[in-house]
Amino acid sequence: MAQVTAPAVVDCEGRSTREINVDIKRLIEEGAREIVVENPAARHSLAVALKAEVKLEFRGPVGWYAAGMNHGPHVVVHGNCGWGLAECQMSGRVEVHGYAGSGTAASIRGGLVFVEGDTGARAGISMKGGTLVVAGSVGYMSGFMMQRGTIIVCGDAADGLGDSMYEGTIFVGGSIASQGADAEIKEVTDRDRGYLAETLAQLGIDAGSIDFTKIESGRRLWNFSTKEPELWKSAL
Amino acid sequence: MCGIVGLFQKQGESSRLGEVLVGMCQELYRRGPDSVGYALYGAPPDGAFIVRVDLDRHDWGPAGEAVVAAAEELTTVKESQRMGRNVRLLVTSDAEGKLADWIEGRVPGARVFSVGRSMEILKDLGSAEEMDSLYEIHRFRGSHGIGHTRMATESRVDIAHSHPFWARPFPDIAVVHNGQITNYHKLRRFLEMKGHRFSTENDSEVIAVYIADRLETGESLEDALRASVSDLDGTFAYLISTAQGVGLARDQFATKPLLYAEDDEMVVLASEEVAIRRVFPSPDLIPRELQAKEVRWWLR
Repeated sequence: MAQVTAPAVVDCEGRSTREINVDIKRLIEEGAREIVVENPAARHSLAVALKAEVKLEFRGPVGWYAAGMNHGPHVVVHGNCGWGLAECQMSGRVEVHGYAGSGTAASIRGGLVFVEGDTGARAGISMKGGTLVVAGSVGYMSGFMMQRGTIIVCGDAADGLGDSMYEGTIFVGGSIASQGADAEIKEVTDRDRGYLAETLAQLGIDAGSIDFTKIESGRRLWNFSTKEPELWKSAL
Repeated sequence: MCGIVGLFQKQGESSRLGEVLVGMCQELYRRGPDSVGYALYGAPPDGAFIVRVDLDRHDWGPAGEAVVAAAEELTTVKESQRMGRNVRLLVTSDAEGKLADWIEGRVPGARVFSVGRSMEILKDLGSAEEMDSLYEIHRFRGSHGIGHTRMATESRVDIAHSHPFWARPFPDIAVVHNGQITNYHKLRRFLEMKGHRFSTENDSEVIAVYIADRLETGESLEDALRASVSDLDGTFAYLISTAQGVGLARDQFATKPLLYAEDDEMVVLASEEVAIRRVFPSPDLIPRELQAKEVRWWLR
């Protein structure tokens, strides 16, 4: 019979960000594979730069730049997140059971970031891979300059969606206030529908009940053209 | 940077108003270590105006007496109290908006931070806790208030250029702002041509005067807030407070953070959730980030 090990516990009460992060790294080095973090109280920069197959569960909101630069961890947050959630994540998974601030999943290169609520502005800005799933709505200029990867938004998208994106794909289930420069609506293929069903099913979302719109780069900003001065003027 | 905070009690008074604002400003100290300030709204004294005067000189005692003497030339001083370099007066009238200029003209180094029926502005250099030890802000109870912790970017570090800014001479209107108003000079000239006067070179002051100017014409706070999102250029998240309540707006690029959390009794506002959690740790209170161009307001 396999031995059941209780998760290690880190209590943030009365402690600095540095002390908490040092504690988390020490527990991982000692072999902990499940860590529960109590009372994070929206402190900034928690659980960053971790390279391990470890599950971290935050029982409460976290602040800015949580779970940034990680390679491998599975981070669960029961509460809100501030700006820059999972910034530059290389691989792993972040689940937020709350709202997330601006710059969610900025520049991630791999893994999954899931937000159960809404996000602020610039969700998935400059993504270079990986997947961002938002069950709610995303703010202004989400997907700005994304270069690879996928953003799935089950709710609405605010103005400037996908502005100046190079590559990658954005799916939006609700309304799109406006598309950004060179962001074009493309046909949703059967392959896309299969991908959406599979990706969302693991998060408990029925993709079949949502009519997704697909956004990709029109690729007209890839190379400067004197024949399209208006397009370049409209790009930031 | 800069940190902005606010608390609005939907009914009655909050016995924690001062304590909550000080706690949140202290938590956001790293966003603005230069100065801190508050606009606090309490129970209006019967028919009286509250005047807050800063004394930018060393002889606080005689200067304080000179302020009282100057005020008595235009109005009746019912009560006066000096705390450090600050004088608080209760007067029977604001002399049709002329009292602040009158005091400043009569007493060199005196700067009138506010004249209001329920609002009083306090501000000083340093941290929230340092200022609280001098002025005991944490003891203040009232209906609502806003606060600011400043990192100076657009004008010099001194008390006069600290937030909140009173929309002189309009009683009870003040603003705290995080950001930069890039069409400040144009807007200021426009408002000066309409007869408004500015006390500082700080770009944030223009927001207070801009909103007060619109409210004076009978426009609602909601309409004034919505108009500001188009008319103000630059990056901003600001809170405006009046005798009736609090409004807020965020710029079209959503560049400056601002959250609100609301329940049946109150609304709490802050640049970062960590400030809200310091004073309201309950998970039942869930903050939301304002979206680009979003405005909100709460009045009583």
